[in-house]
Amino acid sequence: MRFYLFLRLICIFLICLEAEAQETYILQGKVFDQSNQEGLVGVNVFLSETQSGTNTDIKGEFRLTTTKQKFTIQISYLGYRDTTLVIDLLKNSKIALFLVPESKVLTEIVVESLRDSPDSKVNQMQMSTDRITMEEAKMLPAIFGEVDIIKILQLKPGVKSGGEGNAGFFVRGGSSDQNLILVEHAPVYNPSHLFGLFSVFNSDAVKDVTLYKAGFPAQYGGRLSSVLDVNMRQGDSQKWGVEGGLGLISSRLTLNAPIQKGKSSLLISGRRTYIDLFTNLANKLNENNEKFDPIPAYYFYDVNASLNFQLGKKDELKLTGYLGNDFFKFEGDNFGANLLWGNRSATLEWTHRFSRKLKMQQSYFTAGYLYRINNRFGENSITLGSNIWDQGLVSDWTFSPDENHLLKWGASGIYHRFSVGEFGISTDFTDIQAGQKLEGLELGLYASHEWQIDENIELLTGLRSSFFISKNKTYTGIEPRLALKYALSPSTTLKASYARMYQYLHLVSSSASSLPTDVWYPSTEGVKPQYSDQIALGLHKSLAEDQYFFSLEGYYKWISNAIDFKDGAQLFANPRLEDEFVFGRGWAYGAEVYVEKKTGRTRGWVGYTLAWTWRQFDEINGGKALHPRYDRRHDISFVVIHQLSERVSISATWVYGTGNFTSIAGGRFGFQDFLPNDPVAIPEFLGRNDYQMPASHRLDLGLVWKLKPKHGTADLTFSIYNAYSRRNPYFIYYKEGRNEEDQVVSFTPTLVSLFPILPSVTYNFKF
Amino acid sequence: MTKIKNNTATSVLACTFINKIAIIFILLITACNQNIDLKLPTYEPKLVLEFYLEDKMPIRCLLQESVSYTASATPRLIENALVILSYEGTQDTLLNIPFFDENTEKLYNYTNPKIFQAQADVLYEVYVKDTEGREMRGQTRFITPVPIDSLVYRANAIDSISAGLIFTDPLSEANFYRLIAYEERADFKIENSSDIQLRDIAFEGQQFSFFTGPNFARQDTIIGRLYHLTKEHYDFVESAQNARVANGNPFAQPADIRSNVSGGLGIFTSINFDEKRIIIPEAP
Repeated sequence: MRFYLFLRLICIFLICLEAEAQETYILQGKVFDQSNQEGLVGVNVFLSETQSGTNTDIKGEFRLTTTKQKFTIQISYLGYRDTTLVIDLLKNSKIALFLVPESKVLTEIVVESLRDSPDSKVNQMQMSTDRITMEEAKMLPAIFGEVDIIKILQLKPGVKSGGEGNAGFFVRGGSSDQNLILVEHAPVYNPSHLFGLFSVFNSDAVKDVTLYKAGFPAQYGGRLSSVLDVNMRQGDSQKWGVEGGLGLISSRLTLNAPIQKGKSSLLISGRRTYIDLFTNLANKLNENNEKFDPIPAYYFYDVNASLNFQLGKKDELKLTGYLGNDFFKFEGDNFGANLLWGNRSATLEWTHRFSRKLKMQQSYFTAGYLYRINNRFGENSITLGSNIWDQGLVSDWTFSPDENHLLKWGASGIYHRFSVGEFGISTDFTDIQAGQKLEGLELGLYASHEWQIDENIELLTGLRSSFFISKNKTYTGIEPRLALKYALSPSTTLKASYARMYQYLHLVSSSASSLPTDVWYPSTEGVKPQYSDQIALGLHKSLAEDQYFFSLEGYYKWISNAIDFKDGAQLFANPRLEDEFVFGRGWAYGAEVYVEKKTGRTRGWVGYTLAWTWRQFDEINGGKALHPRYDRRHDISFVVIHQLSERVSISATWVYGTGNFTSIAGGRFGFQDFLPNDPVAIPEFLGRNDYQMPASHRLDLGLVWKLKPKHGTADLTFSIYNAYSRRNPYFIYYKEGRNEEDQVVSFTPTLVSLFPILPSVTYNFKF
Repeated sequence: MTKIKNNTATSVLACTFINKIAIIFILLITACNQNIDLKLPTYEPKLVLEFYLEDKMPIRCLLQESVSYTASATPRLIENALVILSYEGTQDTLLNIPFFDENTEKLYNYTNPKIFQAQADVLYEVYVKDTEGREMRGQTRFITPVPIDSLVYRANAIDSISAGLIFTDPLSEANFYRLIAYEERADFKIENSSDIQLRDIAFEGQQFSFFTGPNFARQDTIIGRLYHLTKEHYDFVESAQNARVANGNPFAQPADIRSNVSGGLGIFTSINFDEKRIIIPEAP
């Protein structure tokens, strides 16, 4: 059981709570990883006498009710040895368990999502979720060696990438702006660096992420298609620690520090790319080479910080922050450009436990995204920019009167400020500044009730009311949430859910990829909110003595007031951007099959998605329904991790997807203009996304080799991206063929691929 | 000296600069290009008209047809079509006689030798019918030119000259412009031109200035022209440029050609402009 892994219980202590009615005893507890004092999620806690049990929640907490004064609990957790404790309760009690891996424990190679036992996944109320931990992400091959948790999510059914190497994601027919990405309650408006190649989530700063694809809990709202809740790491309150990594294009460094031992801690993590150092050097070496075109300088960095305070037995205070920027700089004789874009956020969270049944969490956050472009074109100075800034309050309450009922309620308020389409052009003679300032107040009230009706049936009912107040207009949304779980057997459940979601903020984007100049725009009098209804059905089963997890889910989603933009819309520097929106409808449906092997030397999963996505607008494509670019009929992912030895593990991922839809010009004509410009070929597009590109598939390989340094731990992580160098389609265009006189003589359809085989290596250390 | 020659008209205000940056990035990481066979539906050619009415100039236009993208690059000109310009009860027929404008190096295949006299508030209509029976119709009017306030220049560190065109946008409905500055030559050819197209959405009713690149030298005579475009003209050029950018740019949005002629593609519009001249003096 729990192959090769050992568990050692370091410390158990009991903290007496006030006595209550003694017919039953309540045991509450929290399970920690002793090495970093973080709560462990999904630990199985089982009462032998009553044959009942539970799993620790996202904070590592659990709660059990028993009529026995003396009983035995079994604790099992992948990465640690199974253990058994005999508890003799005099009254209701609370325990803290500090678990440490033994020296031979291969915790680094454990796929933590697999720690969520099949039994737990089968029996949890929530369906359509995926949880990925950073340990899991670090096991798998990564492009340029940059571990990216979003790219691992793209390997799950129902989640599609925006294109090769792209860190954007599309969930069950939703566009990228329909994903609510939260980091400690604060929204992330542009989750990628480097034109979408990398996500903003530093692998050393993130603990895990949970993606909800359907049956959304009532506390979430504001986006139509998914919720991605990013859980940041906390600092170690017991001891100092440093870890980091050196990669081909970036390096990371993280500092753990106790502030007051056992009570408070600090974690700071930073990452920076250094492509610019090489390009600057190349430019300098070619300073006198007239044929050399200077290479623009580019880099990004991000910094995460977390301060945690344990204020007595009932209160915790947490302050987290994020700052990330991308820089691009080019200086020529007559032309110069400086680009800056990035996210910022800070969250203050206070958790208070009134009693073992009632808990509240209050949060304040400020978050935003901005971009600025400063161009110099001769005597003209041109600036472009946009930003969104939020300030929000979130209040969440949880009440569990007994083990059959769980009540949650709360409220949230976010004040949004937008600066859209900032544009300036100045010369010695004139100074033009234009732009649009907007604001909106987004409010939400919610309540939900999770009810274990009997041993087979569990029902969740929830309601969220959302409000959006902008200038001259207030919108209201009623968002019911329903979920039902029926246990066919202890290892098999049927689940169903329904959720309505409203979205009041919309991304003004011309691309299926993530661009820094994508602008968020609020609902106004002329821009109605989008809303969606999604039903989902699922069969979940654990197999082969809890070694395998199987799920089959189907969904249908309707989107009303779906938003797009007119053909040829002016999305830059347009103070009347609202005129460019068009409104229509959308629908998506599909089925997802997922099989995961949970234990053993060889672990992994296979996912398959069969899906259709549609949009329809009167003003686009002649009013005919169309497929968005990211629609993909078949999507297959295969992930395997194999532990070769105590020090070496290998991994492989293989993905296959039918081709994306794209617009291809069918005809062309020559345009000579009335001014002295060269004639050019103008394409004539006959329809929107009316051509399907060839299928893509790719194999990535990884190897983690644990080193034996004198101090701490270290490893070398090797990755081979696109191992058989498949030329996957990125886009198609017509290439001009020219004769010796430089005249255009032909046009040839040409397919562009991005990445060939890309090996990389990263050195990681920790002490 | 770096010169911007035949700078393609583009809207600085609708700058897609970031797209270009992204494309540069994509090109840097591109693995390879490969020719492919596209299985597209059979393309049905359309009539394409470029017809610019200009005061005190001959009446001329270019009539061609669009082709499948992979067809021969040679333009397919339409022969023996009926092309009629109508206004105020007058009908001027354009004959299928090629005409090459040496100043702008433009080819027109239908002409009428009559020197056109523009009239304000008059509706001009074009009718085209080719030998296959395909028809096109379009309408346009002349709009009032917007005067240039001044034409100025600036010299950079190496004494290359940029020309600056300053004008005041009328406080009326949306206005659309094409700015051009070029060196006056003895042969009247327009070379070393630099032009941009823009709309007044960001500077309605305000004075606006824009400088060319350092295309000029001391002692050059620079002509600055401010074309006041019809909305239909601006939309056509803008949509054509967007369509062009959308071919080969995964970051660009799809674009339809916004023509103002029915029965085909193209533009039938009036051209008007204000002009100023400046002679760049020797260095002080």
